[in-house]
Amino acid sequence: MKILAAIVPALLAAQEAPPPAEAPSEEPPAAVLGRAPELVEFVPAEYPPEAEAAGVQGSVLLSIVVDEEGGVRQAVVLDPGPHEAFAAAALHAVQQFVFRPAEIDGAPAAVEIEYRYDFVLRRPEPPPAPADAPIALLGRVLERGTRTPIAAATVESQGAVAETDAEGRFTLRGVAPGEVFVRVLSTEHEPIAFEETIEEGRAREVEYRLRRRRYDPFEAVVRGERPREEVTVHSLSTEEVRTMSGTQGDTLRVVQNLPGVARAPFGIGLLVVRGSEPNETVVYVDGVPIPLLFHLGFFTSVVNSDVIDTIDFFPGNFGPRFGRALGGTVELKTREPRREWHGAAQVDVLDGRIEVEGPAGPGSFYGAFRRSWLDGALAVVLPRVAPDAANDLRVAPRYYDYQAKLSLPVLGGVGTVFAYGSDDLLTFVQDEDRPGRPTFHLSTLFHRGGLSWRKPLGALTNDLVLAAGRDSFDVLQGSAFGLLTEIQTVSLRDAVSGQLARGLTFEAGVDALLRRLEYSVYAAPPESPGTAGDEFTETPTTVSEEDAGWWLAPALHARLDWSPAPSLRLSGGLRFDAERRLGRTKTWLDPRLSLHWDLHPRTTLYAGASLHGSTPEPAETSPTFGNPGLDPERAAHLALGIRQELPFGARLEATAFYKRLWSLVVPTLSVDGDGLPLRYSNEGRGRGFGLELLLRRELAKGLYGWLAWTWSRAERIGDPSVSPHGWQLFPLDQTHVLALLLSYRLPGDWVLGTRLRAVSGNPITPFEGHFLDADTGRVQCLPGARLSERLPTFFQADARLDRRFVFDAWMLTAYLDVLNVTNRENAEFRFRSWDCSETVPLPSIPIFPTFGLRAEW
Amino acid sequence: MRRLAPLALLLAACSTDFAPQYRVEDLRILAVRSLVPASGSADAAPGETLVLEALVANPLDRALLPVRWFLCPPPPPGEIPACLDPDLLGDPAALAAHPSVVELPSGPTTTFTVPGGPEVAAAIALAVDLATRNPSFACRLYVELPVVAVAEAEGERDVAVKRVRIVPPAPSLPPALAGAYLTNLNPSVERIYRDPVDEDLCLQGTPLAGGSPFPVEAAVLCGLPSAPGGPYNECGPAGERTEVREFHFWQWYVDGGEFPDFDGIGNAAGDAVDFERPAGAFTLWAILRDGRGGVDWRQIDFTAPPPP
Repeated sequence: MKILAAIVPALLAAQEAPPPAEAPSEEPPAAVLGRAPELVEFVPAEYPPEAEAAGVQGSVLLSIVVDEEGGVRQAVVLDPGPHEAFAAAALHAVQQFVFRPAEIDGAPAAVEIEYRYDFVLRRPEPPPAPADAPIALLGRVLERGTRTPIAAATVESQGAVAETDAEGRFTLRGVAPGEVFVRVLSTEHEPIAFEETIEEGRAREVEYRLRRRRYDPFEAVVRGERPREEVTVHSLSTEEVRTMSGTQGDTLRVVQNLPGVARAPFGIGLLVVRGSEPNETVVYVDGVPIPLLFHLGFFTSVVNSDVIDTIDFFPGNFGPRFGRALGGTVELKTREPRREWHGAAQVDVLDGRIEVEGPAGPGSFYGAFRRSWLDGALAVVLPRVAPDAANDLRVAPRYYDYQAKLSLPVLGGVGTVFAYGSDDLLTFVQDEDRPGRPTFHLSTLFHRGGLSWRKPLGALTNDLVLAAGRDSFDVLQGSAFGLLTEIQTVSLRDAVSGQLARGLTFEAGVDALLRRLEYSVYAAPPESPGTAGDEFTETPTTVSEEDAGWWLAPALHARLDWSPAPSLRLSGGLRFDAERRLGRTKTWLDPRLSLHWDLHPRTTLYAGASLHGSTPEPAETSPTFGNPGLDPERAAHLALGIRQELPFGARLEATAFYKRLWSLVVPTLSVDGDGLPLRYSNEGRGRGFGLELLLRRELAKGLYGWLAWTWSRAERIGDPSVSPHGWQLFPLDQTHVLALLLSYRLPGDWVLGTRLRAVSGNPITPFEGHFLDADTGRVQCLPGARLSERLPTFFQADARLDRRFVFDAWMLTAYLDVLNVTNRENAEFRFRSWDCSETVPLPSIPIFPTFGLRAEW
Repeated sequence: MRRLAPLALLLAACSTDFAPQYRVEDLRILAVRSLVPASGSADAAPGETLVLEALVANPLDRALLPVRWFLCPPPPPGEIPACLDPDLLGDPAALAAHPSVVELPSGPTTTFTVPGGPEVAAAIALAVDLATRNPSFACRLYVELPVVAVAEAEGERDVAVKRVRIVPPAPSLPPALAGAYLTNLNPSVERIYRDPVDEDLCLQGTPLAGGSPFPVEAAVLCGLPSAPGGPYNECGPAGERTEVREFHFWQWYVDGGEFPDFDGIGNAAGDAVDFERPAGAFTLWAILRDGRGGVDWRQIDFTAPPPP
């Protein structure tokens, strides 16, 4: 048997990647991967003699960095394959490869690709069938489950051989009539044999379906190494985190386990980033801001995981294209629809979802919809087990969301029409409630629709996103409080990017919002001059305000990236924000700087310094309940870190950060020149510092996941009139946040995962007595030193098991995700005795299993 | 009507083993009432005579010192009154020594003339100015005068804070504001019943009287006010007025026995509540509130039941 080395015929990554412009990547959205790298000079590896002697075949998975000139800058073994000698042989060979370099934004650029080098024992070459031999067998070879055509598969029978084309089609000639065995081989798939009956003079038409060795879609990942300005960005592929433990089928929850993010109580969907309030972090979907990330702030995310391609999380120092945030930024990038008909459906204990996609003229589309079950389930169950509660709970937690996208080639570019939205509702009604003032009512909805267009303009690329939408947020709490808001938004983003010269690229654009805000509010009146304050009163008297107005917030941003040497990248940017609201105009200018320095091909030092601004919440500028004269809130972010590539596809990042906040909007007792209360001032300040470590192994065979540890301290100080105690801990300050997420792919399409978390307890204020509020009859606690103690350390272990079943035309995945498998009682808050002399912890979520089914076709 | 029972059961599900709030085990102030004797009003105008009364429960019969009373005139805008400063509420000696605090005569009740000095006048002027600029505030046209009551006995101490509403004299108000805020009258307890036929309206029950044993092992208790809740106004954004009726709210306390639905966190509260008597003598306190600072109460002392 003659033996030689062979490779997969072409570059896997380039072949199987989604359309380049939308490839899952760590690059910023403005970057356009115009051309994937192409292997032009292949160097065969020597088949290791000991593996040859043992008859071992297999593949080595490598990560290769192809530089701007097509050379191999770096090659790392991700999976050494079944024989210990394969890795060294493959490494030696690929380091001699020559590529045609990739192009990003029209210019040669370094990219990282995954490459599999297959070692195959070659069989003796069969004699070629005569070209005029009769066709015995013709058909297609498809992949089981996904129905994807398999190219370059070998179909062989009685010594006759044929190879499938890009559509998976083949024609086999020269097979004698009678009962024959047909073998189909593909490097990606398990070999299979069929018995066929060949009739004289008749071509038999067949369709074969091969089972993929591993149903990982991750081998086709192309990661752009385009220089980027953000010093810290955590990019997550949806497929990478879909099976992570603790997500309960919702990939966005994984963001809460990244460095710099504090643990949210009860696992609710708050993002507390580097000591910033949750509302100081902004979420974008394809560049369009959305008002919330999770349904009712607690349940699943408002964007179906099926349509998300990547999640980019910036805990700080984000580039000038992002603004209006003091904390972090989350950008969800939706994927491109496929041109073949596919779909997915998923059900679990909370909701059901469905997604369909396929061709649409010259383009493609998808549509996805999800709705919760809870209201229907409670409507059936509650009247039987708790009739009184059923009467009060007129609408149980109900949410739905939808996403639709149509991509078409338009005017030499790629045009997209998109629509997405979310609607949440929760209502409790009691018989004695006054009209329009239910016991509790919460409604949050948003809809967005728009167009995007990406087009190369010579050496430049233009990205345009125009969207319009509607937000509504209503919360009513009996007679005491009600807020009804309605916001219409038009957002425009346009950015031009390109290369000015070798090593010099730029991006400049506009990011504008036009909003019409209409609101109506009733609430207990804020403190009047001379009154004792309403801190602990319960008054049935309310005051009201309703108003409407326009709110224009244009911003210009520009960034210049300069690479004076191959190992050094400098980025400088400016963002100019303006906002006109309630007849007042505020402006601010934010410089953003960053540096990336490759100390070694596998070691990068990075640093960033930037200013950020954000405007007050609408309620804070209300003439009745707030202060219309408030200024923007400001923050400075500093970061310094190092990234080290490790063997086996692992990476270690260490980032030290410092954050300073000022001009924060905080309550005040101060009055204006007329002696009237200001209610809010810009006297708040904040500061925080910390160290973040991330050890991450990205998707490959076997084990993947990450270990994240954050050590930090965050403090705030309020207006001197109400906070005379100086700097105090941030209420969600957590000194240590440790999260270990691991998943392991077992043979037979099983995935086993776990999440372990250990987090310092949140600060609490001890009680030093009590008094009776004689106007309400309630007993109030007297606080001791503010936030001077902590709840006990939080520790929780979660586990998850996935099993995929592959059928001919579809696949079914079942998963069991169990939160808190040890049923440990972690303290989230405190119950106090009526006189504040004793407290007991309010425990977090007990053991909570979630079972789900997911079908894909 | 035991509408709050499900909520109480929900809270009770958070088992804490804390002593229930309704059980008075030692010295406690349960309520404080303000009363203008001349009008029966809970609110007062500057210069009127006001009586403050504290309901002090002393189940252990400790040697009770006279209740001390402290008054804090409205501070300059932007400052917290000393009577609402948590640091001072925990230290009555420091509160008494604070320069802005006025100590009133001690005793279970205290009588004083509502100050009308420059601090109160300035605060009223600002409140009127605010309501004139924003008519939504017209229905809340009063100034709060915080008062602290301190009960002490044999080293035990309890503190209560009440905010008396000082209303501007009607003739001094601009016509657009006159009549927007309706002076609050204290509610009045008519009677306490057990086992009413109609729990929602507390009708056809057996009146409870003190000086004798509680007649049954378990009963439903309810309270009947002398009159329905009084009217008050709510103002819309342009000052448009909507007349609303006060909602009466009952709180129940005992020094023996149980309100089984309220063993969790919070007061025993509701128009009608289940009660299980103790083996011996006990005292029941029923407190009626109108949600606007008005309050009345009834205390009933039951003797021990005869031995079986």
